[in-house]
Amino acid sequence: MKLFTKATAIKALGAASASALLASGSAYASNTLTEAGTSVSNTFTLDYDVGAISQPTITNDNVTPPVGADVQGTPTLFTVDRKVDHAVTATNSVLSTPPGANATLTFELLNEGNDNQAYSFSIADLDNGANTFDASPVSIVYYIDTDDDLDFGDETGVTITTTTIGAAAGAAVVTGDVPKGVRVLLEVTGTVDAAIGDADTDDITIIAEARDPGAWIIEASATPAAVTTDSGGANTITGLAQNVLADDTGVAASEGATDGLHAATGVIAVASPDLNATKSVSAITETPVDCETDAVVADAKAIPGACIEYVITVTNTGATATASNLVIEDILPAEVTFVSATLDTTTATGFADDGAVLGAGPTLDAPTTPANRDCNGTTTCVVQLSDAVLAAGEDGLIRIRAEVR
Amino acid sequence: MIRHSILALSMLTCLSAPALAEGFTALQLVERAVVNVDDSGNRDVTFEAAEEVAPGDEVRYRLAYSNDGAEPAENVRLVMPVPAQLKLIEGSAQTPAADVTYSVDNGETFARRGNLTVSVDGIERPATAEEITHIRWTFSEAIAAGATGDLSYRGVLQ
Repeated sequence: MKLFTKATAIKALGAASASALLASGSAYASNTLTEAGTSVSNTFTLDYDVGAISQPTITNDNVTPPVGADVQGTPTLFTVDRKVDHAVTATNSVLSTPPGANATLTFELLNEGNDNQAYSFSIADLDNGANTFDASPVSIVYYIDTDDDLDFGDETGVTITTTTIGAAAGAAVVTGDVPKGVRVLLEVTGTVDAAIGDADTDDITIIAEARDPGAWIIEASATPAAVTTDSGGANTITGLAQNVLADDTGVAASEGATDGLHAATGVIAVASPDLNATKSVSAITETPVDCETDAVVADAKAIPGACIEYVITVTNTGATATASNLVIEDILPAEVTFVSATLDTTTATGFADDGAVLGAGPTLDAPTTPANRDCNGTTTCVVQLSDAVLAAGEDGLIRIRAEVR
Repeated sequence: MIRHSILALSMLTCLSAPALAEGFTALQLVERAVVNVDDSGNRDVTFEAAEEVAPGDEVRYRLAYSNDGAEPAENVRLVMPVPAQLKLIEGSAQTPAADVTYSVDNGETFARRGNLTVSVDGIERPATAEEITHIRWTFSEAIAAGATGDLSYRGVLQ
C-alpha cells in the first residue's frame, strides 16, 4: 500500500482581544459634596414675652438683624474641610492574552472627595497563584476626564515613563488637579514574553496616592506633597480647609483605610492555544459503489479504483484559549480523484464559527467541478477550512474521500 | 470661632447689660459629632468644636440660653435656620419642652413635620429633610428666672 501525503498547512492566531479605550458605561453619580473651604454660617432668633409684653428679639445675626433686635454675638461659622477620598477599580480585572504580546489592563480612579486632588501612581507586585510571571516593561498612560463627560476619548493621555514593578509610591509622575467627582482612566500596558507558559498569571496592583492639588496653599511645595495623614497642627474652625482622610482599604496588602492610598489589582492571564494536527489515510473499499458513503470494508487495499479516506485531526490541547482565525488547507496528490469533504469531531463542538470573520462559519471549500476534482497535486483538489475556531480541549476532523486512479 | 463668639458675647454683656433689663441671653454653638463604637458595638456619641468637618460628618447646632432676669420669660419662640449645606437629621430637633415646627419657605410659614409639604408643579407632596430651611421651637412653659437650658438639632454635612 502506498500512502499519499501532502503538506497540510495550519495557521492559528491566539484569541487576543484589543482592549477598548473607552470606559465602561457605569452609572455616573455626580459629586454633590460641599466644596472644601466653604464657610457655613448660621444664626438664630429668639422671641419671648415678660409679663405679656413682647421683648426685643435676641439674635446673633449682626448683618441683617430684625428691627430693634438685641444682637448677642455673631453668626456661627465653620469651614468645610478637605475630604481626601478616592477609589481605584480595575475595569478589566482579568485579561486573557497570548504570549509574546502587549497586554493592556485598564483601571479607573474616582475623586470621591470635595476638592481638587492630584495623584501619583505606583505598581505593586503582589503575584498570587501557582504559576506567575512579571510582564516587563510596564508603562502607564493616564487620561483625566477634565470635561467630566465620562468619555476619555476626547482627553489627551499622559505617559508615565516605563515604571518598574514595585517602585515606591510617590516616585512616579504627579497628575494635574483632578476635580471632585471626576474620573481618571489608567492604561497599564505590560509586555508578555513569548516564552511565558499557558495559564501563567501576573497580578498588577495599581496604587494611587493622594497629592496636594496645585492650587492648594497650606502644603504647597515645588512638587505636590503626598497626603497620607490628616493635617497636623492646631485645627481651626474657620479659615483654610484642612485635610481629612477618608479613603477605604482597596488592596489590604499594599494600603489601608484613611492613609491617602487606594489600590486595585488587575490580572494578566496568559492563554495560548496549543494546536496539534495529524493526517492519516486508510482504504475504505476496493470496489466502491458510492465512495462518499461507502462503509469501511475490512482489510481493503488501496488498489487503483479503490475508495480511500484522508482524516486531518486538529486538537487544541491548551488550557483555556480558543484558537481563532483557523485556516487549514490540504491539496490532494495527483494520484487520486477527489470525491467529498466533510467536517467531523469526536468532542462536543469541533470547529465552530469565528465571530470575528464575516459570515457563518466554519467554511469548508472543496472542489465542485470535474476539472477541479481531477487532482494534479498543485492547483486542483484543494480543500480549505476557514472562518473557524477551535475551543480548548476540542478536536476538529476533516474527512476527505477520494478514489485512487 | 466659638472662642471669638464667647468673647464677643461677654464684651456685649459687660457693656450693654444695663440696657437689657430682662437679661435673657442666648449663645449659638456649632459642634461636630464624634462617634465611637466600642468592641461590643455600642455607639457612643460625643460632641466637640467643629474644627475638623468634612462632608458626611454630623454637625450639631446648639442654642444655650439663660434667663438671667428677675421675671419668667413667657411665650419663648426660637427659630434656627438649617444651612443649605446641611441635611437635617429627622427627629434631632424634638424636645419635650417645646412644640417643634418646620419651614420649607425660609421661615415664612411653619408646620409640624407630618403636615409639612412642598408644592411642585401644583402637586403637593411631603417635604424631604433636605428641603427644611428653618426650625421653630415654641416653649409650652415659661422659662423661670435664673433657669438655663439648651436646644439643638443635628444635620449631616452634604
